[in-house]
Amino acid sequence: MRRLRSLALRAARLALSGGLLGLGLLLLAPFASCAPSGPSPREYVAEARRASGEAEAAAARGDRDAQIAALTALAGEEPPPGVALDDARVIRQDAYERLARARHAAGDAEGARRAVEAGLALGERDDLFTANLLTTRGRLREAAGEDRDAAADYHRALTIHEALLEAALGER
Amino acid sequence: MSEDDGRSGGDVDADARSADADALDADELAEAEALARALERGSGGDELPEDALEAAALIRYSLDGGELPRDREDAILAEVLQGAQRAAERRPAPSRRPWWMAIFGLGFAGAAAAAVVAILIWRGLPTAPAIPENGAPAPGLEVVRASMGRLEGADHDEAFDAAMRGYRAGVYDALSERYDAR
Repeated sequence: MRRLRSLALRAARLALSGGLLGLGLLLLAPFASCAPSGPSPREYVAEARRASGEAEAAAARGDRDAQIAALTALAGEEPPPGVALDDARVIRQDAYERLARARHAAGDAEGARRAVEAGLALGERDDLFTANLLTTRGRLREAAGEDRDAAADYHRALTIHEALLEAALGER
Repeated sequence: MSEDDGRSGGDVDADARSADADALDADELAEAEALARALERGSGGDELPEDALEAAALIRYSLDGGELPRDREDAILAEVLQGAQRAAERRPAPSRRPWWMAIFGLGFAGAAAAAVVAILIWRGLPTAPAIPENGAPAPGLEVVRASMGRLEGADHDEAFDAAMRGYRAGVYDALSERYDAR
């Protein structure tokens, strides 16, 4: 009987602490949604713009390493929830294309190929960013002696350019 | 047939009936005694047939209107009271709920409420709905031509970079405007 009583007491203590924990969670719950969880879409775009400008400035002053570092960070940054996938793709494909050329200029042909492939893996669209990546990959392939593949990339880029040109002329 | 013959024949019948009656009396003696006992104490025995028992009940009812004797009433009442007491003893006593069960209940209720709120908050976290594809603003003629020029060779890269800087600025302006407004 005494054992049963002590067991009951222990269980009651456990339940009480569980209840207090629950109460604490209940009180903290409203603050949970306010906890920082990465950059906001607005902050992401602002940071991308800053990194892009930094890369441009580095390229202008001939600082290849700083340019590559800035573009690597920009290209690899995952967008936070709330950023449209296509908006993020545009930002990152532009960064990957510039990164590929910077690496190629620095003598890193393999790194350049990886960058261009990573950019195209984000999705191919009939827009300027995809066309730029295809042109850059064609050049890399051409430099590597892969003429047939390079021609295919140039052709695909040209097709996109023609459509863009028609659209731009139509707006005039 | 003579008159004597007829009378003597009638006497024979009467004698036969008397003999039958004597025989019936002997058979029904036990029933009659049982009926008398039934009338006396209000219950029948094994030797009493069903119709006799019914007859006894009717006779008893006609005598006292079915009213039970006082001592019989007391006996039945005592029996009923004893039965009720036995039934009450058999029924389990209402158990008192121990105090720690109330704490248990409160603890679990609190934890359950917290879990529900946590789930609601987690599900309602600001995971913005997928925004439809927006992409970049349409490129102008100058940047498209500069991009096409790259197909001719690396000599056009400088012009391309210059054109892209302008277009890129326009893209970031559009994106900033779009996400600043949210």
